[in-house]
Amino acid sequence: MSSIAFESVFKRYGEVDAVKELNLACGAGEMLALLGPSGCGKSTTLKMAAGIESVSSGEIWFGDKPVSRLAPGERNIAMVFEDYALYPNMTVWENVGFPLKVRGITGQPASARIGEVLQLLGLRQMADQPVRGLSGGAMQRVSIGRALVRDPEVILFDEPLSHLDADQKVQLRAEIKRLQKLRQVTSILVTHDQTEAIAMADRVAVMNHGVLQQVGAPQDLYERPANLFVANFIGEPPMNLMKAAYAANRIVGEGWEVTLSTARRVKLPDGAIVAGIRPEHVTLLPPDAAGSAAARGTIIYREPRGDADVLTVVLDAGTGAGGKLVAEIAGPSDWRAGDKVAVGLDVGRLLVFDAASQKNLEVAP
Amino acid sequence: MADAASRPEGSRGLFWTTLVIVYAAIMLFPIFWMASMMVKPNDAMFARPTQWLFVPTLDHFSYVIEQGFHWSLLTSFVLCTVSTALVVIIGTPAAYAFARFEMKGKDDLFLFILGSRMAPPVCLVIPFYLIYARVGLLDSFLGLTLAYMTFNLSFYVWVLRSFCRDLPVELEEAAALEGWSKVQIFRRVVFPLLRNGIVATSVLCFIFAWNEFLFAFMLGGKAVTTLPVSIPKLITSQGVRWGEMAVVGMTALIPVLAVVFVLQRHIVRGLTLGAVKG
Repeated sequence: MSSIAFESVFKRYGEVDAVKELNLACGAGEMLALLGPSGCGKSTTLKMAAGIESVSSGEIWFGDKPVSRLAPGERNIAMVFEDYALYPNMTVWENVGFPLKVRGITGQPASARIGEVLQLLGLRQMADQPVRGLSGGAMQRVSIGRALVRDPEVILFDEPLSHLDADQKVQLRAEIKRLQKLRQVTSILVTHDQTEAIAMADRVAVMNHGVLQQVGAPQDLYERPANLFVANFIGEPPMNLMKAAYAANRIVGEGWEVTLSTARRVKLPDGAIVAGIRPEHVTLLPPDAAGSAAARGTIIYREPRGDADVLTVVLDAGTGAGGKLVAEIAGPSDWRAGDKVAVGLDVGRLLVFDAASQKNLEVAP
Repeated sequence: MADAASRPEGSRGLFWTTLVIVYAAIMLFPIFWMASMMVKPNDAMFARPTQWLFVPTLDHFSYVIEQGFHWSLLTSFVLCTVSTALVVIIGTPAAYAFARFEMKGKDDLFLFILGSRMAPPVCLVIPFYLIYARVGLLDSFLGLTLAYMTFNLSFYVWVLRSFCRDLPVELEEAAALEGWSKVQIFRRVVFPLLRNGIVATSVLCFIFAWNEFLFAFMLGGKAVTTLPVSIPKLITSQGVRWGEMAVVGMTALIPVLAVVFVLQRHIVRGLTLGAVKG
């Protein structure tokens, strides 16, 4: 197994930079997710690693070997595609065995290998079926089998779950993760689905407009997003982001204000900021509750989710309605649309972003 | 027509069936008429009222053979087969290249190729004639083969390109990851998937070539006579030989029908591939 490193990699299509100065590393045996909205350059990055797209400038390293000039077949990688890319006129067995056949491995060693992989993926009974009629989940399993069968150095997953039904998605997600850990194969996963990225990857790299926004463990991205894009992209329901002004140690927004602890205060310059707080760090209290409510408001919408309620609150500003705030609290609760509430914010969890640069002021770049 | 299958058989089904049968009868009547003319004696040919019953004769057949029309049939057959084969051999990689590879001026080149098909054949036959006269290709089998190949190639490339575009590129990428070269991928991944499209398109090319008159007439001269060109020879100074014309006409029809009949599964699949895949 080898590590993968992108070193100042650019991809240009004419005037457009699809990927801009990408520096990113994926350790040996690690699973790295490339996460971002469509058109953010994540798939292009993956295809450059595969050799399907050429690198405009920069270098890609597999271990200590530069690979950007190598043909796809010389890189010892396997890929799992969004729409499976199985050969429609072959059976399950033939599809999985295809990489071996291409390399001239036949007979007993080949069938032992194919049999083992089919066993691993629970495809034994389907071995002789043509792939044409299989369900999406089964087809993607075959595709994963084809990737695993010859012990590649790297497996690249290109949105492997996006065409699957919800239940198959969850099942296959766990399965890919299990196999990846079992084989300790270095993997890159491209996805636009944050749940997938967080569930499967050791580390997540968030991209937008061809630029890497942040890399880190899923929990890091969740708790300490480097900028507004990451803060907004990760988490469901998304983080509340509210314009506010910071002066001394007080943050004042439209219809709400909080005071930061002295320890944090020293690091922050005064000025226009965007304050971010996750819905689960917002608490709702009866309007007459004594104590330190950050704001008051009215619930306008309640979305029950079984174990939780997601409530949208319009804050009472001095004049008329102020900003909106989404709170996620344990459910089912007694709150209903129209109820007046006092809003508490967990100040320790409140994030402060610079309004101009959109960067998190407390995360080192 | 999702509900067609579930519709109960009854008066409606009967009505449509009848309608289709009547329509088919009307369409097929001229063919039947031509077939009957093959064995109709000359005096019954234009008798009024129409003689539905007559003593069949093989005179027309023997005249046609005497005059050597079977050589025209052979010429046509070989000419169309060879030119269509060349079209497939040259056109398939060309269509694939147009569908997949980035190159400068690709769209312009493609339009240029298509343009040669858009021009009325009469416009093209004159320059063809002049060029052929210079290089000595007039009245030659090779010259006519090249001409047919030229005008079918544009059509073939144009149609097959859309088939190539419909193939998922990931299949080729997956094969590239296994270390196959472009040529191997084309031969062993792309070609099998294109088979229906190739069959459907080349059958159309064959039929175009088979029915072609103008080029064969102008460029083939006396030396190379295809079946369509041979038919006017039956308009003689002693009158039009209708019976013989029917024989040659039916002969010209049979290979086309046979090809379509044998390959209809491929053709229907090929022609509807794009639409069905959605």
